[in-house]
Amino acid sequence: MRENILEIKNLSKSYYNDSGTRQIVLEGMNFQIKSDENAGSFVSILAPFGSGKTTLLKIFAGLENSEGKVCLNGKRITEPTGEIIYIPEQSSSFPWLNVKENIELPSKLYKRGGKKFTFNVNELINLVGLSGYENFYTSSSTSGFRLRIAIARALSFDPKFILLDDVLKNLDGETRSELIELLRVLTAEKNISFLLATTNISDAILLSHKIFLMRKNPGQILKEIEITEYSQIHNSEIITKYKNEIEIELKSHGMFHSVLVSP
Amino acid sequence: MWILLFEIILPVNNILPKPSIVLQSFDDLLQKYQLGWNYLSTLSAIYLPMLVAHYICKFLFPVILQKNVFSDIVLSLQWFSRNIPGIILAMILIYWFPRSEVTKFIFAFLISFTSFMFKSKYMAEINLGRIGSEYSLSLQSFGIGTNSISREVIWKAIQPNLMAHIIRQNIYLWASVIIFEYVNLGFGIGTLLRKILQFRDLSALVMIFIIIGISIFISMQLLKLIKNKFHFWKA
Repeated sequence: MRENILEIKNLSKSYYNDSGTRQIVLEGMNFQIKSDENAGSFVSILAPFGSGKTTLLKIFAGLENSEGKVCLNGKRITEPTGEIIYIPEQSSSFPWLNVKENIELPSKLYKRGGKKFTFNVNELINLVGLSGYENFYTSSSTSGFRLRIAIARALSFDPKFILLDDVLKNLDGETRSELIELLRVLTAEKNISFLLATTNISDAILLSHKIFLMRKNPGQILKEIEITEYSQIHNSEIITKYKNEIEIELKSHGMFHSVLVSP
Repeated sequence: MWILLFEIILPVNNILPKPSIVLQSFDDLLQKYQLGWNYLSTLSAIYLPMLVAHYICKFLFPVILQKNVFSDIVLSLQWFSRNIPGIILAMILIYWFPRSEVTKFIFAFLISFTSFMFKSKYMAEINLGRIGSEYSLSLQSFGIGTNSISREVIWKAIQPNLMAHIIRQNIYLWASVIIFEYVNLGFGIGTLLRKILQFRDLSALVMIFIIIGISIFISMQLLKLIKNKFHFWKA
């Protein structure tokens, strides 16, 4: 059994805004996410808008620097390596490429030596539910369709973690449910580990093994909630139980209204 | 209207020649004015530099997107292209290299290159906006370098808009090259036009305008076809 540990220690991030004042986005953050290669994990960071979720995910992926330490399996992350893949809010698909070419693109552009790509593109397409669309050009596709492509593209690199930046936010009800189901299948059956940053309590509960509640100004972790009934999460009583627990916690920090509560 | 008025109602006039005479002048243009060679010369002076400028622009695109000294130097050309009309550049080139056939290729290249360069930078940074950064972010975490992303992704993303710009630029290039040839002499439709005016050959003049008009129309249609066929997406 091989375990992957993504860890941050004393992480802080600040920048100077247009008026020259120092703005602290994240401050003194410490937490650890573990995943087992034989059992995927799904962790969510539930936080209000503007709390620095995106910044945090970019720091994890090596896309932004910060004060403090970010380590994957004890190794410090200073630049993107392909082990942690970041999927932005507007999941990009490249409209001049068809589905197959979209998934293969990173492996074709990757020029660092040593890495061998052994993925089967048709298997990935099948896995994310896009069978039959292999040669479909994506210029007119929906957000859900593009997210499926982005997930398959990420899987082509066999990453240790996939970071999802509020990717379900702009989806309609039905597509959202389908994608939640897909993410649960990928986590539970295909042993893939995800870290989702979201403003939506329901998404976090339905998908996660663990939820980190985060506050803003500055961004800090408030509480860690373990979802022990992961496999029975479709039971509405269990959902309500966790919702209440999160809502009480959020209210106690005066931030209930800045987090979305969807049915 | 022209056929009706000048072929039938007013066959003898000082305004426009009879359509049948204009048709006959096509033969003169081919034989006496060597339309074939001159036409090819103009065509190659427009489209070869355009093609070369497009490839060089693609090659330099990652550098231009980054903010460094080299991009500043290349972009300083923008000041010249904005404030100095193309015809001034043409005059200087003609003065330096009188009657040289290469000069018009250099002239057309400079016009195309500066225009493509600034347009592509503008499109990547302004038109593409947030999509561009999403494209970059989607690939950066795979460990793919910014040069590859700029060349293979951002460059691709701006192609439909750049192609639309090339279609607009096409008429301007035709006009610029013809004026250049008119002043420089040598080969080309511009030179041919000057000879026609010297001989006061009205029917050949009308015919050459028809040929230029048809050529621009066909080239526009071909460029639009290329855009729709190969740059069909909307980023």
